Amino acid sequence: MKKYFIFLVLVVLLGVVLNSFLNSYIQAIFISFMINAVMALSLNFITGLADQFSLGHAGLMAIGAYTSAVLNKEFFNDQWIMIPVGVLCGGFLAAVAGYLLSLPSFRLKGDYIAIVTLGLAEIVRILLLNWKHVGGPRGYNAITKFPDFFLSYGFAVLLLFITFMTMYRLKISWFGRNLWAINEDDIAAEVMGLEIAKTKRYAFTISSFFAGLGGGFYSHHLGYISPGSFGFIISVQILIIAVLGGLGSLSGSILAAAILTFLPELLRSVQTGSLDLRMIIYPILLILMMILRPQGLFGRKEIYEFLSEKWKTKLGIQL
Amino acid sequence: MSTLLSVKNLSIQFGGLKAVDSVSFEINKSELLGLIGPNGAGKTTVFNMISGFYCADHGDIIFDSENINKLTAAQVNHKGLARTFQNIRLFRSLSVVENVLMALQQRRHKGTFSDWFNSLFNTKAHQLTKKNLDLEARELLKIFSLDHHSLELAGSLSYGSQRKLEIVRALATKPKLLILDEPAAGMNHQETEELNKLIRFIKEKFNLTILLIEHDMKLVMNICDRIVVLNRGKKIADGLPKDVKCLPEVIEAYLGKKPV
Repeated sequence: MKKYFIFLVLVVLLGVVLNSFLNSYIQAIFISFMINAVMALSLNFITGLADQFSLGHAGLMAIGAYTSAVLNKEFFNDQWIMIPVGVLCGGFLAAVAGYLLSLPSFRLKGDYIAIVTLGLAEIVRILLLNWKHVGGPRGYNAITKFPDFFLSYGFAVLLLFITFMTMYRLKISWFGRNLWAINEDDIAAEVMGLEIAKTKRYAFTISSFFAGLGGGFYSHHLGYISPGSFGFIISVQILIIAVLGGLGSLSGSILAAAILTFLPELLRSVQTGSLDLRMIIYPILLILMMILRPQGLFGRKEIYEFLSEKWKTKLGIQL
Repeated sequence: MSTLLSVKNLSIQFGGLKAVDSVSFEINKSELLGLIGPNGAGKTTVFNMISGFYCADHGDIIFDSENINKLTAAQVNHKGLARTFQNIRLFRSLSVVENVLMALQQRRHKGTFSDWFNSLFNTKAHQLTKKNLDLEARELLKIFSLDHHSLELAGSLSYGSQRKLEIVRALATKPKLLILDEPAAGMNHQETEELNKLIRFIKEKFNLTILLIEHDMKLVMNICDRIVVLNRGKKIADGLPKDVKCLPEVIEAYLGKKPV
């Protein structure tokens, strides 16, 4: 319990600092970071732990975002207090979509899963583009936001915390071990009596649920969504975060989300005149990353495992 | 003596090739049956049909008086049938103990609501199950003196130990029938000798029925109670090792016909 208390104190402190000393631009970036982290965790769960390459997370995010936004406007009369309910519904609808998708498609393996999930994302995007009631290509406007930064921040932290804890607990439990075994050798896993398709389906449904939650909150954070906000490039950006942190490393995903959210913003300051250095430095960093650490920052390990191993070899002691 | 597994008129065709043609044999409880034959005789295909990877075109596979012909590999395992592979299939970047745990936990966690609830909230019950599973895995490793390697990665073990671990992992699913697919493949003389002892040992210790596919004649002749010989998808002999060894059909299958 003690560590949760310390965590809570730190979160509140950070919230107070953000609220009283920093402007709303930085506050918004912090919230974006947490949404990105939720999305990256959600993708990491299916791509990192279960090794099912998904390119459809923008689609799942869109389902969550539109569900939550429309519910709030049409049924909850723009009350901010109902935002969590809407977000949760968005998560559930995304989970249903993910489950339905996984029914036929998890007989496939590897790259074919990527194609099917990419198909899902495109179908969702094009449906929304042609659906006049939710604005079509113009997007959905004036979505209710939290009235106060603290509420928004608190909700984002809660979302990230729940996502991380769920995935971490599952990772270190029997379910995580099953996923890892499938990742290593699916035939051997099946011979051990594991129903592979079912396990992958569960993993994809859980992943979809959290992608929906992330999307739901995204709509209430920005206040405006359009089909264009959930294009293919968003799926790729989420993937980049997950890969940078290390596929299978949950804490790595959070750190990578922080790096890849703050870095482009920091690099704005080196922009001089027409020369946009930001667009040069960012890809160079990614290329360096691929050369120096192709397995991502932490590989499969969580940050603390990684660090304790580093120290062990450096100091030659048992930690 | 009661029959544990009986294979009746099993056939399968791949395109124009009849890989296995009306093969029938039986395994009695606590028997060690060897399945031999020259390359391409269809031994591994028979194995794959029994363990649920291929679905036979014709014929039945009766295990413990149940037809398991249409079941998937996972369901076949649930019935009490475990196998190893010709080319070792360990979870290479999992530790040795995790490999065994993975097999053990399939009996304990079937994905019920309480399984999910307990692991999500890390309840007392979950911690206890985890501890018990861990103990069980370590005990099993200890029997096969792999316990001092338990935290090493499975892929870093020596070849012989990997074979052993694969057998241990199969045993962890608590099978009634263990199927070994060429366990001596790639082993030197000494390792084969150890394997010989190991197979006898597990048969005694766990009171198992074993079906063995093997190329190494010495091993087969040494440990098998009975031998079935396949050639070109057909059964050509079935009997005690010393009898089968002398049959002219068997010699012909392996060495060719004597010129007249």
